[in-house]
Amino acid sequence: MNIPDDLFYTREHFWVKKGDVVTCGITDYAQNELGDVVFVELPDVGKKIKQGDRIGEVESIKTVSYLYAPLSGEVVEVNKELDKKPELINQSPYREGWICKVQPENEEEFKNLMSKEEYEAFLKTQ
Amino acid sequence: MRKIVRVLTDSPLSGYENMSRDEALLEIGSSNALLTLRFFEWREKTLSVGRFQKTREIDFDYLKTKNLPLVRRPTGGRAILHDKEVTFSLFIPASPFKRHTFYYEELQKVLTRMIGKMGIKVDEKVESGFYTSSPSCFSIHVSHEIMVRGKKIIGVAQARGEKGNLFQASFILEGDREKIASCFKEKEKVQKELENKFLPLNEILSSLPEKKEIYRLLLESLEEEWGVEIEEGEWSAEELQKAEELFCTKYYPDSLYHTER
Repeated sequence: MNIPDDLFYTREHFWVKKGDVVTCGITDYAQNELGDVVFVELPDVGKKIKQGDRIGEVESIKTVSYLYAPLSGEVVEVNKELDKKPELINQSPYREGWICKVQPENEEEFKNLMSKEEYEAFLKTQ
Repeated sequence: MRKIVRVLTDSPLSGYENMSRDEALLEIGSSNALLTLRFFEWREKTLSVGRFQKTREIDFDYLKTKNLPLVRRPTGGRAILHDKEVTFSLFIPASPFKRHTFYYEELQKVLTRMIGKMGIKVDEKVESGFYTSSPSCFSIHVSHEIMVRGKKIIGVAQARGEKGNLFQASFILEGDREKIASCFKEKEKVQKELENKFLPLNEILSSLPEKKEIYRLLLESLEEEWGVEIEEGEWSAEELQKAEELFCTKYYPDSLYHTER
């Protein structure tokens, strides 16, 4: 399983790449658990989100699951390519399958995210 | 600790009310980590579509002519014409990201046992098809389907939330392939698919069991397969309030929620 060491992770299996604007998506573990993704409902650009809020939904084979915000802030961009190719989440969860970019509003919330090592340990409890 | 399944048996309701109640189960979750099994019926024939299914595949003129309501389910999957069937939903308190197929596999064991009690042998291997290739639930096979003689006999779909997982299942007692196919624009294609891939119970058994007998077999199979205890239960005030709220805001008959996609 691929868990890059330059990313941060949530208990809801989102990854976060730090920057002025953070990029996020679902982890390799989550895409594997979900199975073939056939539809992704993305948040609206400009939407204000709170850490832990539902921000979208994803449908894999006959199963609908929610997506949860990894941080609070404003959604500044979404991956429109997923409308046409939701399978990118399975094929490339950390690159082409990214879900949204968020302008974070509270740096303190990064403390709630896990490092690669912490996420690996968390997965062992799943 | 004892695992208890609370059983709710509703009198026939509209599709809008039924979906409101099922989503309320998913949103509220069960107190005391109860599993909830809900048997329900449809007040009138109704076409349900999956949570993200495109309705451009539906023949709305036909639905109008036949007075068939269209309702969107909270679960995934493709369209089902609900008529002569046993319908149930099952709420399982669970981790949202538990392996997506885990509960399908567990439920498959229960349903296989139930079907076995009717003297029917379920196929051991299921050939999985391309999920989005047809608008009709019974035209496609994916992994963990309940199949007999290579054909699907029960439609099951899932939604996962913070509180747990909701399954909705339709066990078709009598199914008219032509009428089902008529609900879609590509009628001939869907009818051909249904002829190849769908098997209602009346084409397997010479005499159909009563619905109550099927309910009993399902409960017995749950007890045996999962080691749970069955208890007749009632809706909580909180669940009913949530269902009412969902009906008023999302599932009311003219809501765009049903047709917006």
